[in-house]
Amino acid sequence: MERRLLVGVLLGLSVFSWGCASGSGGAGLSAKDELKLGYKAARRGYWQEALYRFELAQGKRPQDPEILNNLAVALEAVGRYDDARGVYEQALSIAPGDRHLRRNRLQFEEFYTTHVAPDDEGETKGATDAGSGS
Amino acid sequence: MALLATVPAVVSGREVRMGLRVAPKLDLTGGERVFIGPILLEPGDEGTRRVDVSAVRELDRYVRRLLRRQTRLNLLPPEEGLTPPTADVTALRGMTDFWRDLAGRHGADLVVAASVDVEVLDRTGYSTEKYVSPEDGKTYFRQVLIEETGFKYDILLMVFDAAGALVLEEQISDFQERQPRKLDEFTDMYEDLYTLENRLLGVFVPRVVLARRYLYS
Repeated sequence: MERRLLVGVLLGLSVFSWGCASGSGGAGLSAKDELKLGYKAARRGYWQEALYRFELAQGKRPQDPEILNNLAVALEAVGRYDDARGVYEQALSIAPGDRHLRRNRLQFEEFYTTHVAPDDEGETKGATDAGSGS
Repeated sequence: MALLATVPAVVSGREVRMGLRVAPKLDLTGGERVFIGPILLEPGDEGTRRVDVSAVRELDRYVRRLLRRQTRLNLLPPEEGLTPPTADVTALRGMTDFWRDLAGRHGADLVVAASVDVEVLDRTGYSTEKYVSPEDGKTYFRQVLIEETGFKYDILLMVFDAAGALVLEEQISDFQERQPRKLDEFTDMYEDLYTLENRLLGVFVPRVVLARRYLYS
């Protein structure tokens, strides 16, 4: 009877500790797993959770451009635009040829100059500077 | 085996939609009492044209309607015959007493004033435009046909507090395309101007801008 109780307690403890490890993003999950969990959270719009997962993934693989890309996007989503720019730059220094990363970065810069810091823009470009009169 | 070695790694992921938050330029509670006016006209070389008078009147209506619909600010009624002591915007901007008195007369927390310069464009031609390719990151130049007929606006938006101090100044440029035959119609001169609306609202209320980004999975 005592032995069965002991086995039950040990089993319960092991399940509990596994739950803690996977639920809080512990050391048990690989960077790839964290990336996947973050991706799923982002697809559902849970950007704080996504950010947390991408940060954990980045802690495990600091130089992975795909993780850095996702981290930058999540930082954008939570409104940390300056941090996002820094992470985009870091990612591009590692993988300058990554077209998804480059496109994200361009779109971020376009958003930033249009909406966040429009005062930094230069003169109105394009048509008005054409000087092509009729 | 050799075939396997040459197959590139499959990259998975997809584009996700997201809302990017943009904080307002002014730190407001949302229920401030706001007086709109005066809307001034930038003096031009050609004297005051009919389009100028309409631009001023329409801008007043547009700002009022936009803030009433898109914010919870308490808009105060306009003052009939309000004439600023000078038409020089630079000088007027520094006239603290004028703005303080105006705010005091109406019990306003903020006074929103503007100066508008409108240019009627009617031209067509080719232009060389710089283009950065998102595919390879290189810069290219391309010829673009420009057909410009419409109104080009330069608006200087100024916000003063109850003490008459200038708390925000925003230069906004926008262009409204018009059919050549409608260049002498001045109703709805500011309708559907995305930049103007965004910049103007962005002064007073937070906004969410929809965006798409690629995520790796």
